[in-house]
Amino acid sequence: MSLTSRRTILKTLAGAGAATAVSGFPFVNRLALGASTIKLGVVVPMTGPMALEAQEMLAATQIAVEDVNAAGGVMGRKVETVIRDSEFKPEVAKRKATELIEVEKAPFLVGAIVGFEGIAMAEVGCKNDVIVSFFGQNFLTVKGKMCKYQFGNNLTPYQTAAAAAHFVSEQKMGKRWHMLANNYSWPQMFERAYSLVAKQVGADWTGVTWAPLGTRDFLPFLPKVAAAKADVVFITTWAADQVACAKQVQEFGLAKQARVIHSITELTFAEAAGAGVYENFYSGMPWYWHLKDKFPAAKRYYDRHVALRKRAPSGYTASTYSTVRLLLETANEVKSLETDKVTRALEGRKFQYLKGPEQIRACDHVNIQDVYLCKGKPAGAMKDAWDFFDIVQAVSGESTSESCEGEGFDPKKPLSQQI
Amino acid sequence: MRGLLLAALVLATAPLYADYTPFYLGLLTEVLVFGLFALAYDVLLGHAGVLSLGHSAFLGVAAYTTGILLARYRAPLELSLLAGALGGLLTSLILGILVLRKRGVYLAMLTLALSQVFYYIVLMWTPVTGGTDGLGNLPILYLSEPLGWRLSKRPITRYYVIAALIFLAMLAIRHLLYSPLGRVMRAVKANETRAAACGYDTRRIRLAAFAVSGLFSGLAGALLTVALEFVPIENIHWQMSGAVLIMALFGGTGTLLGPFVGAGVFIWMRDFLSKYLEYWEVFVGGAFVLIVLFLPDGIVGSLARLVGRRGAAPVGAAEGQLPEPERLASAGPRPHGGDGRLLESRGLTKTFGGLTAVNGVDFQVRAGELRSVIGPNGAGKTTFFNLLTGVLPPSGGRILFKGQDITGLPAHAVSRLGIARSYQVTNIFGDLTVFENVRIAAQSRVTHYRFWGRAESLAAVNARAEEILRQLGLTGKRHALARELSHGEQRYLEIGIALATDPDFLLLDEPTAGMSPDETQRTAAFVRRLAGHVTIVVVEHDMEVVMGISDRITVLNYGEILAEGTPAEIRENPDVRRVYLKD
Amino acid sequence: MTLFGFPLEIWYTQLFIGLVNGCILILVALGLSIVFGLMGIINFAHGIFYMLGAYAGWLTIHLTGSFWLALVAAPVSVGVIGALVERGVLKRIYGTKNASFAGVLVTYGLAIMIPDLVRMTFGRPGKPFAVPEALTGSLFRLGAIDVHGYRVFILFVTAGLLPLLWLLLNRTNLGLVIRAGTSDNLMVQLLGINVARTWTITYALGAALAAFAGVITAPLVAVAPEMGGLVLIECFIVTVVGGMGTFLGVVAGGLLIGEALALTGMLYDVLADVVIYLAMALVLLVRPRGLFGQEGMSEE
Repeated sequence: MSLTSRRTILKTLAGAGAATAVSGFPFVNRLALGASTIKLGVVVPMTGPMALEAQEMLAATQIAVEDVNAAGGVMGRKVETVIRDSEFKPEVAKRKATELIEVEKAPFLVGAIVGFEGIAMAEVGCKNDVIVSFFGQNFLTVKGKMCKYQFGNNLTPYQTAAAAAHFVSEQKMGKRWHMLANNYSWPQMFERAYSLVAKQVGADWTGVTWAPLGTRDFLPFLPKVAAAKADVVFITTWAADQVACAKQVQEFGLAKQARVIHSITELTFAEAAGAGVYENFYSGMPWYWHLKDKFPAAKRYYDRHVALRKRAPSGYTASTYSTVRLLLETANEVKSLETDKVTRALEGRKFQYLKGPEQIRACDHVNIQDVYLCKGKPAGAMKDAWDFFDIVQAVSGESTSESCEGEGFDPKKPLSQQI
Repeated sequence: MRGLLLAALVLATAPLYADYTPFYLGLLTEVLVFGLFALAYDVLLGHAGVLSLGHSAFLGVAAYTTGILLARYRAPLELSLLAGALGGLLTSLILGILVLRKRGVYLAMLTLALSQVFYYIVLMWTPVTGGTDGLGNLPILYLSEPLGWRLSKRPITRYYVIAALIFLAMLAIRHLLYSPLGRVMRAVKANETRAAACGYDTRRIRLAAFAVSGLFSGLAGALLTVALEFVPIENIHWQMSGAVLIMALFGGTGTLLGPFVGAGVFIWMRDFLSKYLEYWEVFVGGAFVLIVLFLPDGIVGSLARLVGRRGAAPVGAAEGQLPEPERLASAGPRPHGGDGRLLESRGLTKTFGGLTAVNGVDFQVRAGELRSVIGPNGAGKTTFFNLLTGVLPPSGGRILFKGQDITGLPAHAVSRLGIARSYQVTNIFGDLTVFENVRIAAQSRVTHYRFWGRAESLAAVNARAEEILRQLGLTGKRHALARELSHGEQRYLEIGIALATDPDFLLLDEPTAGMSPDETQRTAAFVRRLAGHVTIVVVEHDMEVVMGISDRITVLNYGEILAEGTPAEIRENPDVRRVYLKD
Repeated sequence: MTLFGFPLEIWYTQLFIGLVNGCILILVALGLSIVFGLMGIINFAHGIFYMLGAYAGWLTIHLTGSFWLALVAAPVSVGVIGALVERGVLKRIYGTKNASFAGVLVTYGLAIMIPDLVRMTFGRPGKPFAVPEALTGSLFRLGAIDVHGYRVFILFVTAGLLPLLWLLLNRTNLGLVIRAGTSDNLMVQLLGINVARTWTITYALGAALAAFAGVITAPLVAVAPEMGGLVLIECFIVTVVGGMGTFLGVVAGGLLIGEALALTGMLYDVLADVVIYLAMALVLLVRPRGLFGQEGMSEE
């Protein structure tokens, strides 16, 4: 390594090269891009463990945008989606969200399946006064600081847990409850919710068996679960962990001694696990495609999704569809893209898209909606490649949502006036 | 100097290229921060020659330390940055102490595995670190009074503050690399065993390299938290260790600018390539493999070699022109203790499994003597040397030097006591210049760990190195890389390195190996003259040389002393004639 | 009768689980340990071959429906891939400057590329891999759980494979050539043995073993492009704890870590993640060569 003056040449070359490589694009971006469309920024984890689910949600977004555009768009302008990959990493989600706001000048952001993406995007949205609406579980109400521009039509952890707990209680499945879960923030919220509801219905909460996130073999934890001698075991896992856990729980016959309830599941997990793995397990879902037989709008959505994706829609696609459509329709109704105006219009808004009536509660932006408890079918009873479950019961929204006071908000004021 | 000014200029005007867009400024800031991380990483890899796969721990611990101090304790920004850097330092010391007993790939795997511990700590300690959600909710960041500049939502100010700090850090690293300690690290990378034989405690040197790397990685982690205003758990995930490796290699190890270029390329691939290429990781992995195989110096390194080599030192005089050494080594005549035995071994034994290589050797050398050790191949001569110099621990027996028991001391300690050695198989610092080979050996008597000031400014060390080169006739080749010398020149350099440590006792292992008859003559004469000032033990096969220069001769056979005496006595000894001299 | 709050029958269950999981670890770590013991290199692509084995197995079943065929096809096909990697890529590095570093780097680069290639070919989401019919169903009830046939099958496979491998390496000509060829190049070359070929064979053997472990554990875990991720680290820890380069080392390490994981899961689940790293750190401090390792094995 010599310090000759040749390095001067190098540094010039390399410095210019690096600067160009990093920043070549601003010059390109000065070109005006279609000023007549409204950009909807979408950030989903297109690469990573949720890639399939992300593709499903992108399809749902596309269908929703098509519906809105077919009805005239927003204030007469067509909506255009600008999609970015969060790579399942919060800092990437943050960066892409920032790009969408600052460079693409998108007035609204949607996306995020998992909590940490949501938190990252919410931070960006709040700092820039842009509405961010989530596809995934909505648990920012419990997180402490919430931003008044946050929305999302999906369930909160409390709603999910309460629905499962009420289901268990109404079906008289037993009074001793236990939970098996991965050890991180999201399932920890379920612990809180289950123990609260257990008190309400008089059930005996025996606690939680925690497994690290990323566990491939839950077997070592099952004896401890069995030792709790519970009537009902709630399992709060997600994605690859849920698939592995379900396989092993099925393998070891836990369902012989207790009712097994997945707090929440997705169609894609059941597919990855394989036919018959979810047999006899109950699961909560915000929506299941069997609802096409109950709601005409659901059937229309089902048909379009199948045509687009050649597969049955997963549960979260319905929340995604409703999130996007609600946001755009509300903006159209108040004839404005201004964040404050649209926010106030969303608070308290009632709507019905692919299932029963829903409402965005003003004091905390939680979507009061029905939750569907389903039961897994044996492999032989499946009528097609996606027929994993039967719907057993719909649990109503009113009974399962935590009160605003419980969450720390004033029930009488809209959220945008509280924080 | 010019290069630095230019770099400063590029940094200062960079926001222009980014069109002042906050988003692109943010990216640029990230490139700089990761560039610093890669540079800190390269101090360990490119300069000290240690491959670490655990650097995510240093970056991550620092990032979280800074983040936690800012978010939960509302600590001042400067303090949080400092704490972060120190967090990185502390983590690197912990890891270094645990892994530095090992080497190479095993060490790398250990760093990888141990860094995971920190990942899991962060993952599980959710209330403090936020777990998988990352650590957010940092307050609005300000520099402390009297500046009081706001950094949050001020991307230009933030960029300049961070760029300035990184530039200073780069200057500090550069300064360190040219310091005596920095030179030692390079020597350890070039040839660790020889560096130890010169007296350097290579384990501590590598630990020092770890510490430097950890400190600046920590600074990068702290700055990253400020740049992102968020601490994602990815910062401490093992993939981050892989990313920094990729950056260092793309840019070029062993250069100052390379890591920054590598960081830029990597981030470009990550952000822009991924927009157009769904499977961009194939591209990254493939590019990485190609670079390792075909462009091992990275982008900047390869450019440097292309451009730099033409400015190389003039190649010295042709072969065969080694001048007769005039004066002799060392600064003046040595006290001939005369009566005293300088070096002594008692019952020295070494076994390897079932094989006894050295068996109960009692050996004494008087100060000022020139002793030759001869014996058939496999007699245990080199093993004997290895025992005397602390390279191998003996299985039994004792070694005394100047009356002091030095049995079992490690090689570097033995060297410090005044024993030096040249090797049978050339063992020089191949990647260093001829001058540096001798200079670094000489430096070992002056300073090991001094990390300030340029190494070249140690006048006494330079003078000694120059003198030795002059005596060996290598002055004309001082700028050539040691591995480019001819065989004979390298053998001379061998001796030169040993001499540079100013030893009282010199072990020469087959110094004339592979030399032409002419070179052999000169070497023999050189050694004979040296003997007036240094006690010498020589292993040799060339009987003419042995008979010509020795005061006394020891004959080894099957690890035991067969005979000992003057050249005349040995020549007449019937056992020796039977076994060794075909007579 | 309870111990630390758990009834004895739960303890039996837990210890048995630890045993079975230990066998799984042994199977997975074997390839890594053998390659290290013979060639002195740590194969960074080990997790990749493991994953490819699972996929090769899935593909075989997809095409032929036979699990037993998959058990053979996976190691053979991935062994060939390993040989190609050794010939095509690693060979260029031997004898160059920083050869061992370059080996790590190149195999790391492959470890980035190949999962994406797998995604391109097989898609991003994982593949379902069912337990073969013949081995499903519970064999007996141990304590609180049914012991599944497949896990017992793994026990037998491990118990059978280890002595077979030992015999192969220590009592056959091929084994002799492998051991000689990887230990003393020059001498062996002078004896006329094709050293280059033995290195290829040894590396391919390591890859095949990793693949075998991949296909045999596939029914238990999710088959996904990412599945090789942590495998390398876990195997490495097993061999560090047990001792590099010896059969006894792998067995000891695997069983110990398997039991440690099982017991921690029961007693102190918070530590379940970290316990293997703590074990490794402890071994490093107290007995750096591992429980049954040879001295000097891990020096460069």
